Amino acid sequence: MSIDRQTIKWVALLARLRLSPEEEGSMEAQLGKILDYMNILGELDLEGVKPTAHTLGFTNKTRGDEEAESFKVERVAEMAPEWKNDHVVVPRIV
Amino acid sequence: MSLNECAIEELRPLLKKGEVAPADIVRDIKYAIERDGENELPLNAYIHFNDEVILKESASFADSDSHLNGTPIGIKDVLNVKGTRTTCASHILQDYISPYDATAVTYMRGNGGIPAGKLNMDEFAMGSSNENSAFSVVRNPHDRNKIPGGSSGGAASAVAGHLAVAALGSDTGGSIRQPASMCGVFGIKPTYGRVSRFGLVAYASSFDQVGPITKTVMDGAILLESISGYDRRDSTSANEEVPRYSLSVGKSIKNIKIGIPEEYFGEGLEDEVRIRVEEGISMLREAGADIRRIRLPYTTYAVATYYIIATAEASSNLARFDGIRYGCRFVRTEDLVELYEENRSRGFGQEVKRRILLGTFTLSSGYYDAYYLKAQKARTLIREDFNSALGEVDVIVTPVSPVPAWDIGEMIDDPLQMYLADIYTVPVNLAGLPAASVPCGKTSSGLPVGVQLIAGHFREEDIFRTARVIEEGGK
Repeated sequence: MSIDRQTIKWVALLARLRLSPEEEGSMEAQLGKILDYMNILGELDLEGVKPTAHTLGFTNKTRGDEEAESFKVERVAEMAPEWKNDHVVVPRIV
Repeated sequence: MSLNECAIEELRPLLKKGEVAPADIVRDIKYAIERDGENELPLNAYIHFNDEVILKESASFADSDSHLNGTPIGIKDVLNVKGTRTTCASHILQDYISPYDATAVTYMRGNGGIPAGKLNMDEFAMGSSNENSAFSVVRNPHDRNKIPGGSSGGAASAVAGHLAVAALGSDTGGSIRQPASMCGVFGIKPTYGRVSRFGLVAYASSFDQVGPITKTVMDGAILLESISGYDRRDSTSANEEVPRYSLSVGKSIKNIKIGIPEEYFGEGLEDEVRIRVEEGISMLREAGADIRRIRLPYTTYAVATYYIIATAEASSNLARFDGIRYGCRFVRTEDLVELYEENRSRGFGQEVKRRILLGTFTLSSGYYDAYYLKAQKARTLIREDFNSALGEVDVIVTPVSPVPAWDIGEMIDDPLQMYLADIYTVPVNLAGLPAASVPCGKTSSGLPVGVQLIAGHFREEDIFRTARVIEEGGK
């Protein structure tokens, strides 16, 4: 199973990336080649094999809900590219 | 000898007795970096080395009796160090100032280590050649036309080129071991969960681990015991006691069982690399180890499995870089999707985009079962391969990379070929095991070759004592 130009465009939109036509071309060729290689996994008999997400078998860990100090608003403001009246500035969304 | 050329273990007694002050070492490092910058082909190992801040911190350092005695340690620029820029070698974070220390850095400071400079790397730790840095290609001190390996290429190049005493790197699919191998220094990726990932900028969270890159095996042990340990802020951190790794360096390996997997010595392995690794195995045999042939039959599937899972996790982890809460906002737009697209497209380099697209694709509707779920099942088989092998032997010995350092630019247009060169390192991350690269001679053209030592979960001590034998034998 390879990947076509339309799929590249769709995946780029999902990933919130804008690709130039040249980038679309090179990604189509490179990802196609990589995905073809990945089909090697089709050789495996995976019937009844359980998937592994973490190797050490950790289960969810919880801790007490304890109060602790957070960053000061000014510190968070310093990190944001745009900041006004104690808020991060974003384009209009509604 | 200048102080920047010393190992941690050599500086220890000098710092302890007060014969050398931390600031003296920082000055020698600074001078070495400046000298290197005058070279026609500089190593470009650092993204920044703010000597004023580092000198100030080292001048006020008073605890010369601590574990690291005030030794300055270079930090890969993927770990947060409070008050300094953490760029991940990416334009999207080029102005980001860390508001906190990564836990590995906090623990290192607590043990008397001084963070000294941020080291170059492949952007977001994605790459095997350090050609993917948004700022500069890193060079190999053994041959400046060759790559240093990646993604911790700056760390390995700096330690090998004496622009750092030692460094902290990170390893997701070989990013500590492979550059250590190519630059001829020691590097260890600890067991998953051994070192906290808090404050390590995430690439693939189920694989990422922090670890040392050092001039000697002993230094690796000293630095690893300074950063390991439980951290409640990392939910995958292991609550296991941290052994004194330095005590296992020099311990006998008599009767230790060493496994040699035939799958790691087949097609694609360059002869000169194979010969050096076999010499390493002979040293272990002479030291009394019990050498056995083992099988790891699912090795062939490791690269595909790794790149499916790692890119899937990366596509999710890197969704946070949106030019809104932190990082760079290159343009202002009226539309939110456009804002995301513009900033991410300008901020990320080609390899990062490639991996985000690949991960987004394999997780997307209709393809999840065919790729992601299949890879997670293959991961189970690869893990079981190691479990059964490590039931028979204590340490598995393999090459780190099938080839020594290649020319800068040689593989940059063929990402698949570069991924395939990770064949010997990625299986270890899939299984969460500890593994190191220890230098074992050079090729006829003078390029270092590393031997990989893999042990069971939380059995780093077996790696350290085995590594020391190869280090001694190679002298």
